Amino acid sequence: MAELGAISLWIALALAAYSTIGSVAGKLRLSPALVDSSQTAMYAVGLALLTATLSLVVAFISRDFEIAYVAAHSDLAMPSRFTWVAFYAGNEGSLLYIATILAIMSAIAVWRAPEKFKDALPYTTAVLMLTLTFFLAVMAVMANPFDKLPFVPLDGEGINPLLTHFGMFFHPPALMAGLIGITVPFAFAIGSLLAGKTGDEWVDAGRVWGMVSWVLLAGGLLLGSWWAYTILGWGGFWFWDPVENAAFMPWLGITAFIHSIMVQKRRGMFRMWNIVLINVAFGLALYGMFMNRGGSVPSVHSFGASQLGWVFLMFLAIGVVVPFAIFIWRYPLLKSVQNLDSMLSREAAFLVNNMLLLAIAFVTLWGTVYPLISRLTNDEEITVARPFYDQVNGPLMLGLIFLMGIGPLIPWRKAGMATLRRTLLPPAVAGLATVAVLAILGLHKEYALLAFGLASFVTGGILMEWYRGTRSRHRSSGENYATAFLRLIAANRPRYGGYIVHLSVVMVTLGIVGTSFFSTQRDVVLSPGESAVVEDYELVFLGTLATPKSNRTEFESTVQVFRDGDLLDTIRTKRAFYPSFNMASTNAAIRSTPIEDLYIVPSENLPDGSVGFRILVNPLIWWMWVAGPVMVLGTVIALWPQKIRAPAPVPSPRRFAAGHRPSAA
Amino acid sequence: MTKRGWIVLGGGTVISALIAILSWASISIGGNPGGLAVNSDLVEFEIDASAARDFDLDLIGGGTVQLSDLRGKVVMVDFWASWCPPCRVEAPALAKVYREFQGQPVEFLGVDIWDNIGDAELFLQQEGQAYPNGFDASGVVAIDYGVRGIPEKYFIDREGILVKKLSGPLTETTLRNTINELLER
Repeated sequence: MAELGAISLWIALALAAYSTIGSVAGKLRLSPALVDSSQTAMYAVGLALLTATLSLVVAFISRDFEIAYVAAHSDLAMPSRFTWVAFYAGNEGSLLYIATILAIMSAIAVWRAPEKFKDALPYTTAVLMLTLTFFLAVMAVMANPFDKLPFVPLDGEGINPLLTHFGMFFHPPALMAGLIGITVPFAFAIGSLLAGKTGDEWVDAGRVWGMVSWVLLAGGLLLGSWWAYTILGWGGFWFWDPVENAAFMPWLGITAFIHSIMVQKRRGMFRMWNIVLINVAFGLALYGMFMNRGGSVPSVHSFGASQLGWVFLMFLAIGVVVPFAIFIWRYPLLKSVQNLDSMLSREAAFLVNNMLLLAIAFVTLWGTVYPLISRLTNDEEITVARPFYDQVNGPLMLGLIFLMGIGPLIPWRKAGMATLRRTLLPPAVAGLATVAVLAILGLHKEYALLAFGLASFVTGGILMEWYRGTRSRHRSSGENYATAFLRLIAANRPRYGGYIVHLSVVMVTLGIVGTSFFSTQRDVVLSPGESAVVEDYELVFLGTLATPKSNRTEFESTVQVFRDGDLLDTIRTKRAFYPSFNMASTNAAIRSTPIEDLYIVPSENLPDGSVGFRILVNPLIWWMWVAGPVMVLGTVIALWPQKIRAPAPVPSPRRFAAGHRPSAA
Repeated sequence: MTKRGWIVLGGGTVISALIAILSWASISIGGNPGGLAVNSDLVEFEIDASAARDFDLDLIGGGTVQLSDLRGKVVMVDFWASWCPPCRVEAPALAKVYREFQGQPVEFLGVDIWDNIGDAELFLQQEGQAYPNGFDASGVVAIDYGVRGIPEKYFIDREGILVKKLSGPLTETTLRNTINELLER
C-alpha cells in the first residue's frame, strides 16, 4: 500500500503541475486542445489523490506499521472507527486530506462553472492547480505520509487520546475543508482578473463556493467549541487561542464576502471591493494554515515542531503579494456600473456590515500579532487576552447584529421614510419591549440587555417578513398557511435561507451572552448522602459504583438534582481509571435545557468514598449547539439550485416611489 | 500620486509589515516549541536523585523567586501552559492540595512555559492558584529540567535533591501521597 500511495502522490503532483502550465499556455497560445487536456488532467489529479487516500486508509485498517505515519498515529488496540481521525491526526495525513478535498472541490467547481465564465476558466484552473501543486510538492518532498520506517515495529504509538472524541470526527476536517475551500472563489476572482473579465461573470460561482466554505468554517468552529465544552471539563468553549483566531478570521472575511457579493449580483456594484474581500479572506486562510503548521505561537492546535513553518510562511507571502499585484495591474478595468444612491439602502447596510466584519477581523489579527510586536520593541511579550477581545469585539458584534436586523428589511437603492416606518417599526417595538420587560424583571447588565434587545429585534424582523409573505400568498392563492409558508421559502431560497442562517446567529448570540454574563461555578467535595446548593439547584450525592472493566475501573457517581424540593433528574457522571496507564478520564454530566445547562464534572474520587465535583450553571448555552444544524439547514436552502428564473436585477437609475416594497434579496 | 499609487503604497506597506513580523517571529522563536506536547497520561519516570539545578524566575504578578531559597521545604515544580487542557483539568486539585499543606514545610512553584503571559495571568486568575507561578519566557528552566511535555512535575526534597518526576495530570490523592512520602523522609 505504501508503494501505491506514494506513486499516486507523485502522479498527482505531475498532473497538477501539467494542468497548471497547460491551462495557461493553452489559453495564451489559443490552443483549445491543450486547455481541454489540462482540464482532463485536473480530473485525473482527483482520481490519483482518491487512490492515495484509499491507500492510507487501507494501511491504517491493516495496521501497516512499516509506514511511519501509521505507526505514529495508531496502534493495534485502536478501534477501527478512529481510522478516520488518525488519518488527519498528524501533519502528513492532514496535508493529504487537504489536497484531496481541494482536488475534489476544484473538479466540481470547474465542471459546474457557468457557460459565461468559460473564457476565463483556464486561468481559474491554473490557480486551483497551482495551489494544489504546492500542497503535493510539500508532501512529496518534506512530509510524505507514505514514508517507510527502516524496520517494522510490533505496535504503533497509538492515537492522541485528545482526539478520540466524537467531536473530533468533524471539527478538524470541517475547518480544514473550509479553509482550503476559500481557494475556489478566490480562483474564480483571480481567473476573471487575469482574463480581463472584470465584470460580473464570476459572481455566481464565487457566491456558491463562498457559502460552501462559510458553512464548513462556521460548522467547524461550532463543533470545536462544543468539543471544548463537553470534553475539556472546564465549562467554557472559546479560548481566543491563536489558532481559534486563525480559523475565526477567514470566517469573518468570507462572511463579509458572501454578503457583499449579493450586491454585485443584484446591482453590479462593489466590483473592486469584492475582489479585495476574497483576497483578504484567502490571505487570512493562508495565515490560518501557517499558524497551524509551525506558526510562531504555541497552541493546543499546532501540529508540533516541524520544518513546514517556513514553507507555509513563503506560501502565505506569495499568496498575498501576487494576487495584490494582479489586482493593481487590472485596477483600471475594475469599475462598478452603478454608484451608491443613498446611505439609507440595503447596499449601504451591506457596506457597513463589511466594515464591521473586517474591523473584528483586524482587531483579532492585531491581538494575535501584537505580542510579537511587543517582543520586538521592548523584549517583553505582552499578550492580548480575553478582556481585550471581549471589550473591543463585543460592541462591534452587537453593531453587526443590529445591522443583521436592518439590512434584510430595507430596500435596495434608496429607502423612503414611509418604508422604513413600515418595515422597521414592528421589530424595533419587539426589541424595546424585550429590554423593558427584562429590566422590570430585574436584569441590569447593560450589555446583556442590549444584546437581548437586539436579538429580539432581529427575530421580530424575520418573523414579520415570514408572516407578511405567508399572509399575502394565502390571500392571493388561497393556499393554507403551512403550504403558503413552505412555498414562500421555496420561491426565494437565497433570501429565506439567509433568514434561517440569521436566526441561527441570534441563537449563538444568546448562548454567548448567557454564559459570558450569567454563569456560575462551584467546586465541592461531597461524601455519599451529602448535598450542595448551586443557584436554585440542590444536588444530593448518592454514592459511587465502581465497575471493573477489562482495561479500566469505572467510577459512576450518581447525583440527584432537586429544585424547590422536586426531583428533577438523576444524573450519572463517569470517571474511568486505567491502571496500566495510571490515567483517568472523565465524562461531564450535562443536564441541558433551553434555559440553562447544569454541568457537573467529577474531578476526583477519594479513597473514603467522597468525590470532588466541579459544578457550573451555564444559562442559554443550549441555543448555541442547536444553532449548528439550523445554520446548515439555512445554508442548504440558500444554496439549493432554483429551477425558476433568478430574480431580475434591480432596474437601473429610476427612483422608486416612496413606500415601494423592498425587493427580494 | 494617483489613487492606484496610493493603493500600492498602502496595501504594500501593510502586507510587507505583516510578512516581516511573522518571519521575524519565526526566526526568534526557532520553530514551534509547543505542538501537541501535551502529557495526557500520568506516568512516573525513573530519575537518579541529584541536586536540583537552581534557577530564578520572575513571578507572574510581581516579585522573583529563587529555588535555593526554598531549601528546607518539599518543593513541587510544575511546568504548565494556559492552553494545555490537562493542566486546566488538574488545576483545582493542585489548588486544593496546596491549601491542605499550608503551615507545613511544603511549597509549590508553577513554571509557565511555551505560553503567552496574558493568557497565563488569566488562567491563574480563573483557577485562583495561591502558590507562586513564574514565567519561563526563554524556556531555559524547561531545558535545564528536560521537560518533554506538559503538565510535568518535579519533586524536590527538603535537602534540595530532585527525587521524582511525574508527567501528565495528577489526581489529588497521588499528589497528596507523594508529598507526604517526601515529608516523612
